[in-house]
Amino acid sequence: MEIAKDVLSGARNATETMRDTLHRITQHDAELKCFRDVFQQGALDAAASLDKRRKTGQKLGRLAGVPFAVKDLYDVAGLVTLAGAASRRSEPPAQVDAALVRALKAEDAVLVGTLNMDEFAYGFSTENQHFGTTRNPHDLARIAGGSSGGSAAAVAAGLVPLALGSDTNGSVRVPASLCGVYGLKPTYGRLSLEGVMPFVPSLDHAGVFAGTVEDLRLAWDVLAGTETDGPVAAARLGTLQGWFRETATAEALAAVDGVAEALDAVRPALLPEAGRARSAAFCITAAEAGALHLDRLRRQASEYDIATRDRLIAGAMLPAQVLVQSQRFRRWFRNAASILFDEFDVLLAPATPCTAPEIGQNDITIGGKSIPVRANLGIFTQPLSFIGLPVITIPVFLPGALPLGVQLIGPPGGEAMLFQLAQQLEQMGLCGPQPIERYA
Amino acid sequence: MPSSSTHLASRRQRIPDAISKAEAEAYLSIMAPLLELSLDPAYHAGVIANLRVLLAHAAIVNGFEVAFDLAPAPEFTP
Repeated sequence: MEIAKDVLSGARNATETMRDTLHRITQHDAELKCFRDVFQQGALDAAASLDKRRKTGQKLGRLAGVPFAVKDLYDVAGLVTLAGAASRRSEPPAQVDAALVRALKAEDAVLVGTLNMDEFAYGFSTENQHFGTTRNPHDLARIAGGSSGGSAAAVAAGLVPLALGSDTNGSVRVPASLCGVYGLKPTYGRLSLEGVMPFVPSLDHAGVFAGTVEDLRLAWDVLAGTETDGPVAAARLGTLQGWFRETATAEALAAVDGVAEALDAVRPALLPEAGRARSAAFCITAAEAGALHLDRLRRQASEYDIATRDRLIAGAMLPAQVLVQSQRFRRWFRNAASILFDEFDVLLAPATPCTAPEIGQNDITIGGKSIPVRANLGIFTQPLSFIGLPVITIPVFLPGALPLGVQLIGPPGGEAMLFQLAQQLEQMGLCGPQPIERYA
Repeated sequence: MPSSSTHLASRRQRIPDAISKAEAEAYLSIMAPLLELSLDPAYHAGVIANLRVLLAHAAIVNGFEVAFDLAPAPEFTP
């Protein structure tokens, strides 16, 4: 990570870097609405402390001076964790930082703020009734995606090089795709969710956004306590067919096919019943989230975002049989994926069916059919998080078009292979964020 | 592929209209008091719309026969 290298070598001090970061946030966030809170003084104090430690010869961590921000559902000591919900303003502040915030700080990264999201993470657009709509840095008239939209947009605009998000049904991968940045949703359970506001406990994953594969990998190594350097074979590649192509725009297919064609020996692969897996994920999400919020809905229903409230109430009413059937199908589907990974190391699929829709756009036409846009942004991500597979979304820019993400999908625990392939594709010039003139 | 899949076409045909608006309204009026939810009538239209979408997805999931012994709980092998 360039900032850490500069701070560690003394080429640049952390305070100077932090002033630049805070200036950029002040300059651009009024229009982007990525941040909920910015910790101006705290960030400057932390940076000054790093500079002092370096001057006195103390060893600094691998992320020395790297500014980072977190989705507004990570606990930050002394701050109320709102999770995008105004109704939580009266809750007590968090006593300690979330485990992943602690892990980044332990390597001397500096927390600069919390980031906007869909209320309680239930959405794919970050159009938050209470805290505003996060805009897409590539086109301010378009959504950033969600629910970790603030995280993706902040990285895309270069406000921070690193941001934490969460992914239950696609909430890292969808905004990463629409904003044109790298996003990692690791294997289910691999990263700690201690101090992270739950949404759907059996589907929730912590995740990370970054502007380069190297940055993403370093963040992963720190957060997971692992070391992913070194060659790992990812020779057997497949492109997911069926469900993953049927409802995609020509642009989304071109993004995947462009990557596949550039790699040798990519074969077609079929993950059976992926559409049904999406439906099962939809049901589990509604039931678990509805149950989680039931008590608050009894007391404070009027304080929810209307769309969130209606979804949660409906979910609370779902018959138990449906939840059980969805969980049993989940087991079946996981077995089917496991068989597919006997033949393949990494699978490719679009991350979203289309590029970023306009703010307020309700429908999109794909293959001659008009479909609701928000509900369908996650159709290619939901079947994969449903069974906890690790995925890196890589940003692809077709000429003259908005960015689109391609999912690199591995077997459980296969993150190292995904990093290797993402690195290879980045070196080939097939993926990577493009600088945005407005924020250069 | 796991061998336990059986497609129930008759159920899949119900996907677009798994439950009518009137059925959803009746269901809501029974479930809300059972869950101790006193809903503002202004919420009903939105909840009913979401219930219909949700139950359409439920019909898709129910239209798949999973082997009787396939339970979602984890298995531990020594």
